[in-house]
Amino acid sequence: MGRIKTIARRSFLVGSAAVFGGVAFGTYMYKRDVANPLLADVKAGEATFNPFVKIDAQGVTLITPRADVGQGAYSIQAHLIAEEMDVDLATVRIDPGPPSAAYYNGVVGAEAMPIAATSDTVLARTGRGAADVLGKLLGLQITGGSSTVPDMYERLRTAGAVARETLISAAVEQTGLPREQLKTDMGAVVLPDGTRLDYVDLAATAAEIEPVQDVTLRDPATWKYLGKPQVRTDILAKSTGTQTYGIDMVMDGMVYATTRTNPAIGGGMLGFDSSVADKMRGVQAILPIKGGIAVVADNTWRAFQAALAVECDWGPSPYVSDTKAQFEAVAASFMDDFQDSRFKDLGDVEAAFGEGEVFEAEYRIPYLAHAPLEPMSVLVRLSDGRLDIWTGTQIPRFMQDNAAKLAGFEADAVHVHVLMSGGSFGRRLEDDYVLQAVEIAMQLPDTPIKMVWTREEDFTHDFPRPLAIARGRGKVMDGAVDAFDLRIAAPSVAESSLARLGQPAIGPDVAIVAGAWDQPFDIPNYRVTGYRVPAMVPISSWRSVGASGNGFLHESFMDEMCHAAGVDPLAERLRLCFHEPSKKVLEAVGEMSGWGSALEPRRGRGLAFTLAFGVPVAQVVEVTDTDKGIRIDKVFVAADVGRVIDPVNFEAQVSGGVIWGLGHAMNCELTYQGGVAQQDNYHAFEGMRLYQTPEIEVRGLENGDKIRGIGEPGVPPAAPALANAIFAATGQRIRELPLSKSVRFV
Amino acid sequence: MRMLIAVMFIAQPLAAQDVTVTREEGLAAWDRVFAVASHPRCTNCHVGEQGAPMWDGLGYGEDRVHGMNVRADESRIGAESVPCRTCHVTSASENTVPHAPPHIDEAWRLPPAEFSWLDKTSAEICAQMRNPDTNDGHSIAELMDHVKTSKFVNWGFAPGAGRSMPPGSTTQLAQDLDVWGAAGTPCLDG
Repeated sequence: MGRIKTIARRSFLVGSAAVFGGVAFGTYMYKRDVANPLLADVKAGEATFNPFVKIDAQGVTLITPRADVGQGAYSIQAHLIAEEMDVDLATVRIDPGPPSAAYYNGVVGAEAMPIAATSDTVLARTGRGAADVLGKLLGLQITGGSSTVPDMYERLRTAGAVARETLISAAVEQTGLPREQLKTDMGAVVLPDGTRLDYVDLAATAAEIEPVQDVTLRDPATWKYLGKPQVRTDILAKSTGTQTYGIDMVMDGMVYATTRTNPAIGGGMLGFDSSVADKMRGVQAILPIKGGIAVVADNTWRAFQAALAVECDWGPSPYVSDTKAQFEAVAASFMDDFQDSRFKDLGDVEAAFGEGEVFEAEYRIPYLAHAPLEPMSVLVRLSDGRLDIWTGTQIPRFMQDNAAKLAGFEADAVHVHVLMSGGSFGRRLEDDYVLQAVEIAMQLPDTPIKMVWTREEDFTHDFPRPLAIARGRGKVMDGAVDAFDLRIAAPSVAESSLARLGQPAIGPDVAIVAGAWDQPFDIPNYRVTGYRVPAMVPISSWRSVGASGNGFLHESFMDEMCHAAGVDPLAERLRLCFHEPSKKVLEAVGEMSGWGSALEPRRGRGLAFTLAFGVPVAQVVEVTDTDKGIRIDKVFVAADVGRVIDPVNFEAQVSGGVIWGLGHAMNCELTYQGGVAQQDNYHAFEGMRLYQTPEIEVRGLENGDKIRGIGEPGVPPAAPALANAIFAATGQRIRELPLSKSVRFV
Repeated sequence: MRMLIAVMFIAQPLAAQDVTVTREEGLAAWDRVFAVASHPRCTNCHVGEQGAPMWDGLGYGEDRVHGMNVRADESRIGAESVPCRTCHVTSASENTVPHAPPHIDEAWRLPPAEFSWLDKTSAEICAQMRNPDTNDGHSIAELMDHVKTSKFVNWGFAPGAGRSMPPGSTTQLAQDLDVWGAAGTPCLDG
């Protein structure tokens, strides 16, 4: 194989043609194709045409590099490839693949830029293009920001089409028949006489020819999988309890470990006495690690028990460590010195406030833990200068780099094997637990070590969603919202989490105001200002990130302003809305819920709308004020993702987001005392119970100009819609989460 | 011999002896019984026809319905397919883990629906307690025996793992029932 061919063989097509305004890196690096990581393992007779498809004697493997944390990402990715490749999903294997720059995320970076999803200016398009370029240059393999579908929609279908066309070319070469006479059907090229040449049998020939890069994607009218309800690839295993998650990974000769570090965040360890724990049954070693100890035992339970029996001398937390003081720090940050952004500044707010009564309100949201059902766990093995890591993660490449630095290895000596996750909600964007396991492995080389955290360790060492305070000032004029000034103060997630990933956080943190500054309303005087609170406890992204809390802040204030103006909250939003897809979801939810129709006494409807991750979502919550407390009766949701590629998964993600949003709004906060999170298990941080869960009616609209992801956008409007419904039913306006501080739920 | 007689005398319920107990003494004893009967450790299970056990005194804030929303149904042992013992194991081990489902060495069930104490007044429970139709068919002597021997009642006074406890002890409770019975089971409303 000649050099040119070698380069071509190692390349693949970039599916989405990003608009790029030209930046300092030059265009060469950007346009150059990324190496196909699957080539490293390809043997004679096997074929790979791009980083997403591999064929060997056993069959076809589809590579699904975005992590599945319960959102159905493996399924969706597999369906995208299979649709164009024309294979039966029941016959193929699905593999998340190795960490590789080829699996960069070209979309998620745009979420960190102050580009409104509703903006289609040259500047906005350039910014999105730059995000794609940066993602590629940095090899940013990351799952998050509801970006899997928008990022992979074309790329994976193109990969499938390239594979299919290349296999057809192989059939042309084998049979001598003209291309026009060949078609494909579920894993085989079909000859005019009906003879089927299986892809597997064509692989050897296909491996010798140039991949066909000039492909045309199928017309959606001919789709077999996409756009229709599909059986998730993991549903059988999950329904029968046979799904293996990261925590289920086992290996011959492995030992079981757990760690215990100072529950006072960042406080470190001054010393420890393990004399009691040393003698406990099954304990094999008690080792110092950064900030605490690790216990190695012959099973996880014994490791847990021994870890609790170690007497530790903890240092004090270096952070602002009590929730009262933390909120005071937030409240003290509404000052010019701390202003971080003002991306929205329409009209003249100050002038509008010049005369007459100004309405003011303050809102608060607490820290929240991720609390994935599968606690943090990992299996590591360090042997012969090679480090293997098996875990559920959203950041395999960052993990690879951080583990390599810690172990003193080159990155290519670290092999991250991504496994299915039992939930994440943003927690698996961190690798702190893996680095602890690597520390253990460095002290116990040649031994597979399975490290599992207790739930308490998980809660007390989470990087929570930040707390925030919003101060709203508004004015109504002639029965309409005229001035809307929202100031939001919160610590910066970007500043905290990017530092742990070794990345710089440049410029304002959009997350502080996301889901508030970028809402599609033309209020005459409309301003949203972000204030960056100096860092306190380390924080991280939480399902729907900035919008998760800002939806409550913006939409509670919007509801109050509509009531102050004496106008219907739905009618006023529709009047102010300039974005057609957003209008359509508002109209849809109004129609679904019978908005405006009479309700029995002590019942109420609340409306909220948030456009986040490019997805406009409107929700109406119906509640009843019973003698024993608030009952949530029903929720109506309309959302627009441009194109719904799996209606069942779409509905599941939206419903899950609503339940997640409502449950946390009702019950959850993470408070600190002396730097220690006071809620250390689910009894104190309670999800919505099954019997409390309302009927949820979901409608997916397809009016948006781009395809979008739906993992997160269902979350932000849930809390404000519930609070607004409680106001409608009881007249009680609640401005602080969780709502259970103010009302009781049945 | 004298000692033996004394022991036999003490072991006999007051009601079986010729001892005079005033109505005031009986009502005072009832107040102590009510303090136990109305304690969340007891009312969590004496919930009546609703069949939904409660969670209170667990440090979870206000009184509330058992988080898994179980229903004891007529059998009082839980849904037939998901009885209480699905989570509450039958075991004599200590209850040492907070927030874990407590276990005792007896089959888990709720008391009979008519023996309902939740949200009831002292007078209401008093009337229930002295009536065999609403106290699971017990005489006072049988009630005394019940509180001394029932594993549920005994667990209630030593639930472990930081759970709240009613005042007194099973011995004290039995004595108070005895005094109350000897006084003619007086209730404030008659």
